[in-house]
Amino acid sequence: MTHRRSLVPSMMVGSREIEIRPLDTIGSALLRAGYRVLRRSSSGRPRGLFCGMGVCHDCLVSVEGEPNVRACITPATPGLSIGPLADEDA
Amino acid sequence: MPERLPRLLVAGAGPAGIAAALEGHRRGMDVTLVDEGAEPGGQYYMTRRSDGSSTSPHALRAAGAGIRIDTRTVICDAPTAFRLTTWSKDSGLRDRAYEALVIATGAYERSVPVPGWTLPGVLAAGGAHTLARLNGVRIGQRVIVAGSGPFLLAAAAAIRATGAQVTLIEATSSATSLSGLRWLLRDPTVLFQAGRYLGRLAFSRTRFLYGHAVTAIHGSEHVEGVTVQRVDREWRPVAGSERRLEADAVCLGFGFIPQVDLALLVGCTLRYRAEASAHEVVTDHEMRTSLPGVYAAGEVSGIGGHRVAALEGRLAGLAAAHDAGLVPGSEFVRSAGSIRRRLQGPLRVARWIDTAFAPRAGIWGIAGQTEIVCRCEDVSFAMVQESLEVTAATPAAVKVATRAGMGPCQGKVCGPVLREWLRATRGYVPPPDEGPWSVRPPIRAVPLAAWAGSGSVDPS
Repeated sequence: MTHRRSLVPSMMVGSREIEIRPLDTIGSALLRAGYRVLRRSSSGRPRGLFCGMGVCHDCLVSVEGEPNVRACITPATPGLSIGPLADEDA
Repeated sequence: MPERLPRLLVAGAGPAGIAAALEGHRRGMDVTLVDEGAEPGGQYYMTRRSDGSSTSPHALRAAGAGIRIDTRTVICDAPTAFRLTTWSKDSGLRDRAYEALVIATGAYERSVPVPGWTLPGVLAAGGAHTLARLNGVRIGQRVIVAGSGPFLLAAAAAIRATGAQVTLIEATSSATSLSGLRWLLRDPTVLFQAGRYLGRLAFSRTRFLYGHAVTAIHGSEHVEGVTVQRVDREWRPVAGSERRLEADAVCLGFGFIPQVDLALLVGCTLRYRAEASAHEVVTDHEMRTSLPGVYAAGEVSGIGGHRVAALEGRLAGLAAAHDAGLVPGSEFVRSAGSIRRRLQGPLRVARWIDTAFAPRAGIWGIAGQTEIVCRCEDVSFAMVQESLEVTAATPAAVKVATRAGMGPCQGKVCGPVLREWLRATRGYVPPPDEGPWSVRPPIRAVPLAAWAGSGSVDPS
């Protein structure tokens, strides 16, 4: 088993490690890493970041096991664990 | 002499809130500034570290320890007059008493739905601007920036700077867009800013389409393209002018709506202003609302931009200090008069923007063809139309019949959409003195356990 320690600040999305930068929110880090679909609506439609300022509640993700956190206004801090996101097989 | 200083609570740490806090502090009040964000500054200063103005977060820090700043703190309830309940992760629920409250809760983006608007990759212009400018995130390779109003220029320039190819689609005709030139010519700051954005966009060969609108967004899991159409003066799409553009992200902006939820909760009188297509908090010339001790400043009393917000914030702080007996009448009249004179120019530009770029009736016909109107509850326009067969064509009746607006955003997104759609297509006339959909505490998300233990919950 190789144990890789990241040199840049990062957080976990399901089982994947993604980079975070200063001033990142969870939402900005996720979008930079290519995550567009963050969850499914009650009727199964894909949803992602929309208003980007905490109003619309479309970008809800689970953070450290706490559900319904607004990704767009929650600061991304090193070591956070997100998700798993809607379509991820984690 | 009173034993302690009069307490001024300022809700919102954008340009208006910072100005109010600084003025209140300078005039001898005991000031607390509360904001949901991680840093003071609000949406405007989030992407500008400091612009050297006297009401920036930098100026706030320079004022030293005299002002308490509670960030990452939400205001969730107003149990009685002169009291608010706040919540933060660190302090939990807290009861705060005040002698004066300045409501400076700002604004948020107006949504005008088009088919496909819930697809991932469709972002509101304000959010896209922040992602591009603050976080350097390229929201797509080919980005459509569409809607109306001068903010689209700022969003397009920020997105272009991330390396994306940008097409800007403005529904307002180029003639109308230029009609405000006489106001702009008297306002060098705004003229310079607009010129700079236009210059940068022209230099980067950004494509502009005036008098056009996105009438559909395509894709199954995320954005793959859009249909663009020419629109007439009333923004009705011109049949036969459809063309498809490839895109992997769409940024929609139709101006801003005052964020009046706290004002509504506290009980301030609001007014619907038809030219702005929005509810605003009613204030007198010195920013006093209908309630004693409660003031409103900045976007919440009418969209005007950061310069208007900073001046109104100062005026609100000054009036609060005067009403608390800290500023003598003659000094108040002189200072308030000077601030009001400086407000005249920026307010004229703001009123022109309201009128020139406000959504025209035709666009709501396109909105009515979208599948989803309420993103929270997945309520469709078909369900709304069906409900109108048995219920009145008012936003309140539609909400009860369809659950539109009952989700976590508390109707902030779909409320104005439904109201304007009913107005444009069903002859609904918003009563000038009636507020938008009512709000229920907690008006911001608070962990259920904390809220349940507070005694604020209705046992039913």
